[in-house]
Amino acid sequence: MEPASVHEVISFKDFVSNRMSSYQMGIPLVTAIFISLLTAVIILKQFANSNQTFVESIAPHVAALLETQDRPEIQRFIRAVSTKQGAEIEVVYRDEIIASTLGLNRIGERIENDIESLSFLDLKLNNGRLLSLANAERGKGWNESKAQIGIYLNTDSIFYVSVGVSIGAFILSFLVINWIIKKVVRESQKSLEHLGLLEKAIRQFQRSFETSEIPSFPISELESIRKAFLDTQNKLLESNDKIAKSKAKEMASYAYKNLIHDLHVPVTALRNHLKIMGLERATQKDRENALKRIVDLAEQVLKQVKSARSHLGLEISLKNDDLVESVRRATENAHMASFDKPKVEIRTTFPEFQILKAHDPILLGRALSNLVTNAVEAALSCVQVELLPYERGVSIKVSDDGKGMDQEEVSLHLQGRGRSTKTERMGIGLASANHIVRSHGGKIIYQNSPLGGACFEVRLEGDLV
Amino acid sequence: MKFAVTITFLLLGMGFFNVEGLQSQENSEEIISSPYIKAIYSMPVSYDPIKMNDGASLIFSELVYEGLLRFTEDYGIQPAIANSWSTSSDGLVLTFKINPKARFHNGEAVTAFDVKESLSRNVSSESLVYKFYDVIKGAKDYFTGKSDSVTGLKVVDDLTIEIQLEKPFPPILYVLAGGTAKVLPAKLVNDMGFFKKPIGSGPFKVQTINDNQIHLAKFSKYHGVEPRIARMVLELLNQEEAMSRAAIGLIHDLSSWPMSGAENVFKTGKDISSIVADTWIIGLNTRVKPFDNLATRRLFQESIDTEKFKNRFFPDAKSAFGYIPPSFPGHETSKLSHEITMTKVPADLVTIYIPEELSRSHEMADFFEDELIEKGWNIRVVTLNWEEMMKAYNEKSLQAFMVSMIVDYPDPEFLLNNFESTNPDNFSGIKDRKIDELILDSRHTQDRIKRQKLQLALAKRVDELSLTVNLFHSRAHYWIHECVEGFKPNLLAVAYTDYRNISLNQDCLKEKGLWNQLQSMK
Repeated sequence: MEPASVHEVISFKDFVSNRMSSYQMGIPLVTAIFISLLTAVIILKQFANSNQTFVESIAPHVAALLETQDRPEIQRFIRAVSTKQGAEIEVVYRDEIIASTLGLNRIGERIENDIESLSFLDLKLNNGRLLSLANAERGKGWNESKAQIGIYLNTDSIFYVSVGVSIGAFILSFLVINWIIKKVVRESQKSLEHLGLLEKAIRQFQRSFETSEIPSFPISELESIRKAFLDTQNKLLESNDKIAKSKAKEMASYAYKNLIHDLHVPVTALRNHLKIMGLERATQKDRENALKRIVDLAEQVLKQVKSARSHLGLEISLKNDDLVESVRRATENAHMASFDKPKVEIRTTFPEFQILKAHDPILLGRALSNLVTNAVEAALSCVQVELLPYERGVSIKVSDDGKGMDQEEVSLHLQGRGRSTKTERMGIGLASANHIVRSHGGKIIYQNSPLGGACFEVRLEGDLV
Repeated sequence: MKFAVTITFLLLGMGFFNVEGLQSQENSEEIISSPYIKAIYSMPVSYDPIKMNDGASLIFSELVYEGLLRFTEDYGIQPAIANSWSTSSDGLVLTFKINPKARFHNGEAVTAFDVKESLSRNVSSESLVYKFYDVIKGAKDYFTGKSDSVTGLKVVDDLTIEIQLEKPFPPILYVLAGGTAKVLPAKLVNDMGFFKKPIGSGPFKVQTINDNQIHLAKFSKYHGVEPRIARMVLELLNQEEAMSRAAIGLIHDLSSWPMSGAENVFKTGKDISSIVADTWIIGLNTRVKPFDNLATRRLFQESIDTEKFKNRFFPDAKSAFGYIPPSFPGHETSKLSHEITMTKVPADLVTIYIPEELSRSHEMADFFEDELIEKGWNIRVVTLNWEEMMKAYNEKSLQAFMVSMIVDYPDPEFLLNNFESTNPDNFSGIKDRKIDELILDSRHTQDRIKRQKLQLALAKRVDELSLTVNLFHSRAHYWIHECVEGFKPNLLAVAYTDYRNISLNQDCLKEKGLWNQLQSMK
């Protein structure tokens, strides 16, 4: 299962603000650009018209000056009027600039031949500068040809005005859009009050869904959520029933298998103790011990049968008992049950003090008995049972000097899906032991044994006393 | 119309600056700044404004002296000593208010009395420019010695002067903005030696004047736009030397020479191109044979291929088909067709004088000799140094001479009155009744259109009489060092260039490694 992605939890106001931030800048920017372009076009049109009118109005006077060939006066005249109009002016005669306020060095030069006509506002383009041209008609002067007066559009002014207007438009629209966003957030927050009521009703419903109910809401989206919740609740209940039935079946089957397996050890031990009772060479003490163990074993068998009957394979009842004693007893039971392997020596290493830890002595003992029995089965000559407390818990290692097991095979056995090459019991025993250990919050780790075979380590974590 | 010729003097032992006197600079800026060095083709012929008749003198005049008015860069006028002025409704009385901050270089205030005395000198018998001012009431009597004072010049108070005219004459404002209408200190101007180190009220004051250099310094109490150049040197150099020194950054301004732009020096520096109201001519003296004859003058005119001359020596220039330069009434844009009645070339020796200092003057001499000898003329071309040529010019003894005629004032009146029979500056010596009548009519006509028509007729008459061989109208290319900023040539004449707005970027000089070199010239 993939881990759930982690989101920063923020308030609704922040959420909306974050979502609106692009609009906060974007809308004013687009508005400013649009308005500045519009302004530029309007100003351009006004300037162009004004220039055209202006240049047409001065054309007769320039024509009169041309008539007299008084170019210094033309220069003085256009200098004076260009200052008034705020635009540069040139007078062109036979393609030669004869007066200019654009640059005195242009006087006497040929006007650039690359004047391009534009399709709007009667403007021309001369070297990147917008130009209005008007003819200064000369009547019956010494020469019938005509001059042209060019007035350059003051694009700098247009640019500065447009920039100024766009900045103003940006600020204004920024303020307006922010005011609108605040208003929207405030109204949205009000609508969230209904959401709070829905949440409260759902929580109430969860606590006692038999006696409480979720009221309906006037907002369709909330009403949909309410219905969806109720539908989900109903479906969950139905699913729970189905899962419970299925689980019960599975657990019954499992408990039965466990019971068959788990009864093998105590019943075998019981039979051996009964044999001791019948042996002539048995001493009185042996018979008394055997009788005591027979009683214990009978109780164990009874408990296991009861447990299986309740369809719960494992009903752990934790006691703060001495874990060392439980392990020792489990080892002895296994030893007793493995009478058919008399050559296998079981070595134990237990601490000389009590370890009080909450556990179920019978079930955990059964799990350990299984591990030891398996080890005896697999061993050639020696099984080692070792109990060691460590920093955060206790480790119980059952090792043998057999041929060991494959890691994958062990995993299958631990999950209850494996098959032993020798007996059915072994596999069943591992799965049962694993289940019991896990029920105690512990785990079984498989590793290679220092004795050369397998080593099953039971790790029970938690504070020790 | 005065003439200025692109001339040079060959001077030996040049190359070091004599800047004695610069030790007494007025402020630290002057000391730490490198000087702005402008090459000039001749030393001023005169330092007295009323005797100025050449370009170098006018350059000096505009830097050191100040008149009531100044020209703008494009034919307009602007305040100078006068900070305001008015004209009576009948056009006969002009009243000027003097800027109370105006000071002479010796620290004394400029007064209306100084203006009166200075303008009186312009109409005195010493004046070579009397003709521009003769419209002032009482000028003639003063000029001829009949009166002790000019009645038309009235001091209203210390800061107000009134100028009365005999007849309305609008161009008088141009005359008052020109290079000869300068105001000098009345108390000192008549002192002996005044013009050896003259005192004016212009933006620059004289530090020293020697044979080939004039050292100027910014006048810190100047009343107008404060000059940005702290020190300036006008240095006499021939054109070749000036160009070679400019190329290595030791000259900052070659604007005295209107060049073609093709010279090597333009590989560095700035090329400031501008129209120039001038006509390069070969002036023909009708006092001397064979040019006393109109048919001879026309045949002589026809014998010189002026297009060929222009294309060889000044390819960037405009063709000249008449005497009047571009921009002025009467300027011809196509070849005139005069009837040639003479078929045989006269046997008289014709001598053409060319200023020796002119770049390629010998090539030009060869050109004229080849052209004219081939057509049968008994021709001799002589290159003459500028000083001698000026002397001969004033004596009216030159038979034919090559000069550049520039416009004094932006009004056609002043272009054509050189041909008035009574004008002492009439180089051609022509005495033509029609010309005299037209000039008189023009001067008495106030209606602009009528006046211009008279001037068109006048120009046509001058061209008809073939008094000049019109070679070309130049388009000037002024060379300026790349560290010079704000240089704007004056459309009227380069002598009127406003040096108050020009600066020499000291950081730029340092970057180019020239600053120390220029400093060390002290």
